[in-house]
Amino acid sequence: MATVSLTIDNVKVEVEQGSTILEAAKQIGVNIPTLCYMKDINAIGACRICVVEVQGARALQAACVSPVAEGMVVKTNSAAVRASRKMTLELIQSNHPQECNTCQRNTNCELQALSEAMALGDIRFVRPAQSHSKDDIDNSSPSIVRDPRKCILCRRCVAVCEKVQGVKCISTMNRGFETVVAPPFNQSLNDVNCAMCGQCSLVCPTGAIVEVDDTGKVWRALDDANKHVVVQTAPAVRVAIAEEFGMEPGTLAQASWWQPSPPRL
Amino acid sequence: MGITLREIVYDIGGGVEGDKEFKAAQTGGPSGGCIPAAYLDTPIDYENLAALGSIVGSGGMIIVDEGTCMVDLAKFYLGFTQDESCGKCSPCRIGTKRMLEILERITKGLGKEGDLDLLVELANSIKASALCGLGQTAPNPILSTLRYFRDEFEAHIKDKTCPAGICKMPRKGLKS
Ligand code: SF4
Ligand code: SF4
Ligand code: SF4
Ligand code: FES
Repeated sequence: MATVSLTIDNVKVEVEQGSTILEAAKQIGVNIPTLCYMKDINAIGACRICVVEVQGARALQAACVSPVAEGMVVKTNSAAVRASRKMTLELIQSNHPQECNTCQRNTNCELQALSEAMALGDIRFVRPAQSHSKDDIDNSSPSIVRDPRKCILCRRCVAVCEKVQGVKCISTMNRGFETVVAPPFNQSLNDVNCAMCGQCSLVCPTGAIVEVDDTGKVWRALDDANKHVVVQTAPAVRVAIAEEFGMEPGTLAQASWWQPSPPRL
Repeated sequence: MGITLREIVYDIGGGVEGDKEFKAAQTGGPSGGCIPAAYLDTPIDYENLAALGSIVGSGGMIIVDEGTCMVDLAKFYLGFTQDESCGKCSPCRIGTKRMLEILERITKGLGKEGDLDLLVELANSIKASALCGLGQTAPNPILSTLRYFRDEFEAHIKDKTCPAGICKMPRKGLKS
């Protein structure tokens, strides 16, 4: 295995050739914040939150896509780096509804957590134009709600839908400030071949793609004295639960007495 | 290469139309920068233009006279790059929009104190962090007009006047 040695925040480190700065930093416990990056699935250098200073480079470099080089000197937390990350975050938040309190993602949102960690504070722009409005929310699907106002265009959902699920029903449309992640020709999710697997909502760092919340419907059923309510979990739960118990992803969790029923012919 | 701006404008180009005062040359297209009259005798080459905060770039050169407002010019170029942004990276996608919005406010007489500092901060940050050359050079027209014509920006913001008489300002005495 060919290795490369470089210096990150004054610490010498030796890593496998072809590693990124992000991976090299991780190896010595240096945490570089990321938004659009997803290991093995999405490394596109789009959000620019992971920028670092590389000695001799003209501009800051995105750590998630920059390969290491012999003798490289990297600073992950210099004043320039911090200022740039904060400005980028301020820009992202300037085109984002400030409604954490009522958002499904509240307290479980990467954008929110990052803004807090970086002590973002005030957004200084005067009445900044918003690329999308409430009219653009797509709640046609029985399972998934898309809210482009909250989308930071990290494209993680696009990558997982295409590369992991093999469905490929959402992608970026338009250009520049008008860019949006949506099904082709801006159709609604219900009109395309979305499998409603929910993987996109799982990887979305914000509340831009979430599951439909049917809690109200359940309460209504429970409150209805004339209804007998039974609970049926989706069959896939036994797969999800296995992972919770540390089994290989995809393993079926089952009781020892349980026998799969013979296939119906 | 090596020929001066003055020779290009006055000898080759035959001078400024209507014998108006030369104000600046924008070199290198929308990603370039402007060069004011004080540097008319600078020989044109890569290094000299870079030192003046501009580039050779496309090789194009636009000469503007005293009737041009430099804030309006910066706004024009930024409108172009903002429109050209592909939308992949956040600094360029949102940042060019915000810079343009600030310039639009200033040229409408709605500029406020702190706008110029914010513009410079934005410009430098986008230059350093954008993904491609378009975003990295988009702030150049702002940085270079601010470098040489800061007083024109300030006239728009503080006195609510456009020295070149191009921008429509609210009538004097009216509070914005
Ligand atoms: S997506 Fe995150 S930052 Fe945006 S409103 Fe929801 S919780 Fe807040
Ligand atoms: S629910 Fe699944 S198929 Fe539908 S958009 Fe999301 S990842 Fe793609
Ligand atoms: S919907 Fe979510 S995952 Fe998809 S691009 Fe927008 S923020 Fe990223
Ligand atoms: S995490 Fe590297 S550019 Fe988004």
